[in-house]
Amino acid sequence: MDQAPAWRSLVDLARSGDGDAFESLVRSRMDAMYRLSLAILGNESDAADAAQETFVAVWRQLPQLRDPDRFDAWLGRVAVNSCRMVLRARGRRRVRELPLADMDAIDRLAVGPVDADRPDAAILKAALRRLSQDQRTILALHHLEDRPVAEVAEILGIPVGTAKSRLFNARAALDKALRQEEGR
Amino acid sequence: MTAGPERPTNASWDNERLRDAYLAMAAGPAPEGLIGSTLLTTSRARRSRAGWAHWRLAGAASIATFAGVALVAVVVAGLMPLAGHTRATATPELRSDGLPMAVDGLRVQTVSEALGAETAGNPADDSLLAIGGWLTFMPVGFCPNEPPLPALDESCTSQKLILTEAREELVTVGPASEVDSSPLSPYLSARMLDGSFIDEPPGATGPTAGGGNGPLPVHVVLVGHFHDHRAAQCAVDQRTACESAFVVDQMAWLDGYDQGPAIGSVTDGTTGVFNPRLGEAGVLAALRSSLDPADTVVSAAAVTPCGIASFITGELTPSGNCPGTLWFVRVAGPAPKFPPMSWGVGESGWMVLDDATGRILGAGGWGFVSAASGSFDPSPHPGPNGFYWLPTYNWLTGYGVCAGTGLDAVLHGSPTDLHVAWLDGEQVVGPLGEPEVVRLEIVWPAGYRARFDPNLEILDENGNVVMREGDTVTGDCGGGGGVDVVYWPSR
Repeated sequence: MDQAPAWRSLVDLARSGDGDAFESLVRSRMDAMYRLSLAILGNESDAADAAQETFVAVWRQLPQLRDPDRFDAWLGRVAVNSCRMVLRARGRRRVRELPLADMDAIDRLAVGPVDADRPDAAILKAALRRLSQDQRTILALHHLEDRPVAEVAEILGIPVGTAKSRLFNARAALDKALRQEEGR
Repeated sequence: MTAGPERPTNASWDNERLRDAYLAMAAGPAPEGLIGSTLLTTSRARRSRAGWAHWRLAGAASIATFAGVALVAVVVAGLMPLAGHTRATATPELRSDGLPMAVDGLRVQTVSEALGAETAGNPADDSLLAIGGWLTFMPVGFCPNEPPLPALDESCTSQKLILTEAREELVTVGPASEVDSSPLSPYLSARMLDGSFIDEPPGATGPTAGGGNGPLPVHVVLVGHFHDHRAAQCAVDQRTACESAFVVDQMAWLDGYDQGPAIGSVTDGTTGVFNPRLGEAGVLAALRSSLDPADTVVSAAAVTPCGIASFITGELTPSGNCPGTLWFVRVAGPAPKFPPMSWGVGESGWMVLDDATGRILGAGGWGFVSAASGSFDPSPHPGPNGFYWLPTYNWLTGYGVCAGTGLDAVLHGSPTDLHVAWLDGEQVVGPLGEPEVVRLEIVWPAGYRARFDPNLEILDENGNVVMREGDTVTGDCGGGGGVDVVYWPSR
């Protein structure tokens, strides 16, 4: 689905300060940005903060957007940055990185009854908690937002080949986490 | 085997199922009112033409994910919610090079000043110091599996933090290549070890000279220390280098703003993600009444009991089951005076706090441990059910009957007071020997708490009310508190 032409006129108007056009952009993209933030951050409160920060930043920086046709990728980039900012402001810190061997030890400690009725969304949510923020980000951009790898690479500011390998690794990590969650 | 609805096997997590799960996970729309509040906020927001001053594309993801090929980052999801605003505050006084004059009460040194002093043997211990410069978070490439190394040994997977005296872009990322350069100005390679954690700020990644995104230097003041105890774990031929490594405790200042304490968590590889009960606010509240007013909390790390010994003594981390959570807190400033503790030499030290109770289990500094067998629970921070923690010594448990004499004082309390409860007693003071009401501080037995209903009530460890606002106190028990500190008042 290509909505670029519709966005293009709204983006042009919003860049020039048209509040109504900006409001239309917010209304049309807020749910998607909230979902993306939720998939990256994992909780509703942080996701709402990040989504709001995204559009505040968009409003401030829109005049600097060089290519309005790339608005959607740019919006994704701002959203990813907003998630980082929210995490930082919340004081949730990534802690020391553990070798995979250690993670296996952690996995062995996982306990809990097997729940055959556990919905996929719950399994996915629990599995995502086992991944790094960067892994959650690249997975959400590709599998939730359905963005092609080239656009993911653009959003993250990395070469396409790098994006492919990171996506592959993140997906492998997610598959492992899903298996672990399903086995609980 | 339990009969239940047939569910797909894990092999069937294809893209379609994954996307459906994603959509179901965030099935609803954005919260009601979010659009309205966003539009209200943007209507007040000033539009900037300055570009991405604080919003450069954070390709920090790229760096961390490189490491993610061989490593798994663990995210602590359960830290207590902190204040919903950034803790950064503008620094009022800056030097000509743009750095602040001081942070955390420590004079800010340049890289060359700090290196020169360290070479000359100053400091000879792990006292905290502040060094300003330009920090680059160097990328971590693909690393093979490595055997466990001592914490201060250089390893492929350790994050390289290069602090240069002058602003230098050390990494150039092109379309198909990445070039790392050696610094030209004085620099030090800082280490980030267990016990503290600093985040990459958003400006630490952005467009490099090669056109691609990569690490960019950010203007910072790092607070940290040389001579970390963990140098003792290094091989003999590495010991000198390990002693001279600058271990970062806090990014105290970033591009014009004070950053507040560095708060993090550390797992030991066996417990996995764990959720400390206290967050930053809880830790600070638990320490508040003990710290000297001139003290600054530099960092606080939630750790398991297994891991903490290595921070303090340099001992190798013991293995095994280590239930519970402790906080390792580094403090810049004088040693706490109430109750009195010491960090030996120097103007900085550490404290260890029990996450479950908020009690201070120990304090110390370079080669010095105090209060390890005593315990303070000094926080007036309201606990569950509206109770307030009181300053306590846990060796006052099992006190039995106590009928001390020698006081003529009245118990008072306020939920807003630093120590919650105190005594007003008459003492003969002044040149004419006139009686005057003076305030006396109290240390209580372990487990004692206060509540306000609406007036002060003191409860013992079993929840029995033992004293009330206005009670007359005639003596104290335990002793050793000095002129103005009463240990467990008695009636």
